[in-house]
Amino acid sequence: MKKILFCSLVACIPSLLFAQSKFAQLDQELPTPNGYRTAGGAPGSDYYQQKADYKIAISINDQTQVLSGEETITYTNNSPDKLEYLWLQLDQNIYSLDSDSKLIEVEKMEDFKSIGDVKKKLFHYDGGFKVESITTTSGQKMSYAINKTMMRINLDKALMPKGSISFKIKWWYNINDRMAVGGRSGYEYFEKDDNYLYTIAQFFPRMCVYNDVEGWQNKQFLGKGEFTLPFGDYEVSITVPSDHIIGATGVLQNPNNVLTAEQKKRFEQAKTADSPVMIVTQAEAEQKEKNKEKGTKTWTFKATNVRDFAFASSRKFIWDAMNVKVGANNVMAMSYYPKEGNPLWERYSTKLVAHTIKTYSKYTIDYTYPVAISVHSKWIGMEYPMICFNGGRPEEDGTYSEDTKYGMWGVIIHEVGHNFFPMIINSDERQWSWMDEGLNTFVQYLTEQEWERGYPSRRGPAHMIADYMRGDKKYISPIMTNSESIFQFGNNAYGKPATALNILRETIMGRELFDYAFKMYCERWKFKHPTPADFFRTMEDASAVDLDWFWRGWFYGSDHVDISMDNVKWFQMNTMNPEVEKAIKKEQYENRDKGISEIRDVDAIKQTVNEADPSIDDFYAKRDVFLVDALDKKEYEEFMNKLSPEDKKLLNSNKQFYELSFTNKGGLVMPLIIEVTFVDNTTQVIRIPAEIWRMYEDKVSKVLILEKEAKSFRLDPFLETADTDLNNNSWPANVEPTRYELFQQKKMNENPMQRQKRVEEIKN
Amino acid sequence: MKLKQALFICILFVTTSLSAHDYFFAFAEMKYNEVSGRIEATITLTTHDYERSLRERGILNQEISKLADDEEAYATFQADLNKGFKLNINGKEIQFNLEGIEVQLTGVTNFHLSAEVPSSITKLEMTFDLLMESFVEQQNKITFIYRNNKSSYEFLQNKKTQEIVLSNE
Repeated sequence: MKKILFCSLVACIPSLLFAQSKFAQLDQELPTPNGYRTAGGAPGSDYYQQKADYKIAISINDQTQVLSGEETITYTNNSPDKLEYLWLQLDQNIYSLDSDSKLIEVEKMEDFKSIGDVKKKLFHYDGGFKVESITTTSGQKMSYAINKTMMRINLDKALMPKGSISFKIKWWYNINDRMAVGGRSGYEYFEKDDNYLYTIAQFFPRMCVYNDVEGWQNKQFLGKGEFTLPFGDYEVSITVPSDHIIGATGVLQNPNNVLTAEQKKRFEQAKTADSPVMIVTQAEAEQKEKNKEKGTKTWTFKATNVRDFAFASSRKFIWDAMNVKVGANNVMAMSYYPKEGNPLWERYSTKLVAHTIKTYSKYTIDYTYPVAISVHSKWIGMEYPMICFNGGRPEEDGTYSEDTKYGMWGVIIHEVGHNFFPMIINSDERQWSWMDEGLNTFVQYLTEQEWERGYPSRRGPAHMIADYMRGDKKYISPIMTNSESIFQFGNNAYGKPATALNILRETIMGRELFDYAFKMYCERWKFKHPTPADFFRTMEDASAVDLDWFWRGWFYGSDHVDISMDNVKWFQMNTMNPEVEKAIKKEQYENRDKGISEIRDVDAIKQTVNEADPSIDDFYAKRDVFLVDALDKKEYEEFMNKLSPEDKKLLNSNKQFYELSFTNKGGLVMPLIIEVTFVDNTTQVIRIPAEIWRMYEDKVSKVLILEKEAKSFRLDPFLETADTDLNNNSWPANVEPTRYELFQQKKMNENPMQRQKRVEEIKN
Repeated sequence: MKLKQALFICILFVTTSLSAHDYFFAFAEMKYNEVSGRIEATITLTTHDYERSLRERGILNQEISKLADDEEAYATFQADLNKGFKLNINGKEIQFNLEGIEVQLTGVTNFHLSAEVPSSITKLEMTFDLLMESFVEQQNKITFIYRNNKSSYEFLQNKKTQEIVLSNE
């Protein structure tokens, strides 16, 4: 006995230690709170951020596709540190001939099996920045060093706290052919009418972020981890062919110089319109495509408190706009698109922009920028402050499929949504893609559902992430992984965090607690630089829900959800009434399973000895154990006399007891959501918090006390936990059909074209 | 000779890793149906990724939804899927029949396939490099259901083939 006890204690120790790890607090993972960032997840009393103001003049040569520019940057050091040097980002250098991006691609000889492969590998496009000069505002040369996509400017004199410095940079680069080279920006050439459409970003040397977390965030740009940028004010002048239309971050400063009288009139109309007003019509754009003016015009834009600047330019642009009221702000929702985007773009784009900023404002913060722009750019989706470039192109004959339409809707909502994450709630994209992509994809889902009931969102619902989450953990990255090192970037940085937040909102916290805390995070960090810890802490701090287990499982781990319902045992309460209990026992005895010999012996043995000789049976043989005797009745009466009226009521309530056993097969702990179906076909849903696993992470059991007899139990009936195997979720067992089997079940005997032929026959 | 043919066929560029907001995944759910003696599979992939790959490889230049009932396109899809989703059972290469295509509004397309397989499966070699030649970041996964047990296998650029030894006990 002693030995057994000793063994069981030893066995329990590692199990308990391990069990605690899933619910251990995140103290070791999160940075220590300080004066810059509080333990509650808010900016602290010492919080600071740098400021970078830009005055930029650029021109695009439409013949050579070369962009050249000059900028004056004024950088203000709000940190308590002195800065001996400044770091700037030269993102366009990802297209330099010596770029690391191609060098770090894993290759095998089988990647060179066709001329296309060889051509791709040997293809070199020199698109890097050509920095011509860096000088002080008085024209003195400054010393600098370029390290791939980063540039350090060496200061003669350290920039002290509260100090600022201005300097000038002159540069040019070859704009990339986006359709051949790819990229977030570049140009698309339209061979049919010999015109270019430019979507331009990362086009100027931009200041890196310096903050209390990273110091200088000067991690190289390798292609995935996007941009980390300080806020500042911009004044940008863009010289392009005179018949081009430009859409850009900020507010146009010189409409009198660049717009026609008619365009200005329409633009003014749009400022108060509640549906899109055409500023440049398709007919007007098509006319310009043919005429191709020779001169140039300079468009000037100003933008305040933005982290970046981007623009689009083409003579092909159709342009429409409408007003959106967000809180006290009037916002111009606008779209720029070539005729190739119609009929989809004219019909939907601007309305989607308006809907997006209104809906995001409801869940996050009021949109405070003056404009929100969607530009049509084939295939991609890419975001910048106030402007984004979006795909979704109909066929050449003007038709489009339903999935193209939903694809276009989704990408516009997503990219416009990026105005909130990370353009305003300005997280470090280079380090943590999920902080903008994941949060944005989550609000995108909410926004899509408010656009159309039953909208077929690509990401958000828990069951949609199940395929990604199961499998070899070696190839599944935790969400808290640097942007460049993530397996399955889209599912990891977009899908999984969006799903996690949806699960928090619907299942763990509930909508009220979640929405308040999420909005609080957005309010606290608008126009600031939040980190993951600030998000995790705010969500807990504002809700009083300990979510450390959730962050640990969903964000720091790669386990998946697979909880199985192993067994169900049924019990009923003992009434203690001998009349009832002995009758039940008798029935059970009579209905017991009988062995084959016992059954056959009934007839085979004609008479036993005790049947033939009555003297054999003694007291034990003669007594009826199911008979209710006087003692039984007396004891029952005494028992009942001791009970209170409430106890008596409970005893006679006919409650049904079910002991359910569960195994956590996937490793990721989640609440147990159990749907009970009773024999009368009514149902009841019971929700047990995830903390049921806090001490025993592998196996737990729970007793459900029900009013009625149950006939089945189902785990996760609303598909809200991302359970990856539904085959072990039911009692009695129920095997879910595969996708192939579902397809076969619904497959018609004829294809839709054959069916259509029959429809035509009926018509004829 | 083979190399020469390939050199003339493939002349188009493939996508670099610089596009934003990518998907680049394909999932396959595959089950051995002991009653019919067939492997049944559904490949789920991102519609626009596949359309783009088909276009860039010069195979098809239309949306899949427009081709889902076109016999010729069916044959093309079947051939292409058989190139990127290969099964070798007990040393014998299996050819799948494409039985249906479902273009979903959620942006993915399901390709339903099946193939007759030997009655006794002991070793199964799976190659799932669909779209990997088009997208350097493409990653695929197969979930294999065998006798009600599910197991998942990842396929990457440097790990395109996986082998499963099945226990028939």
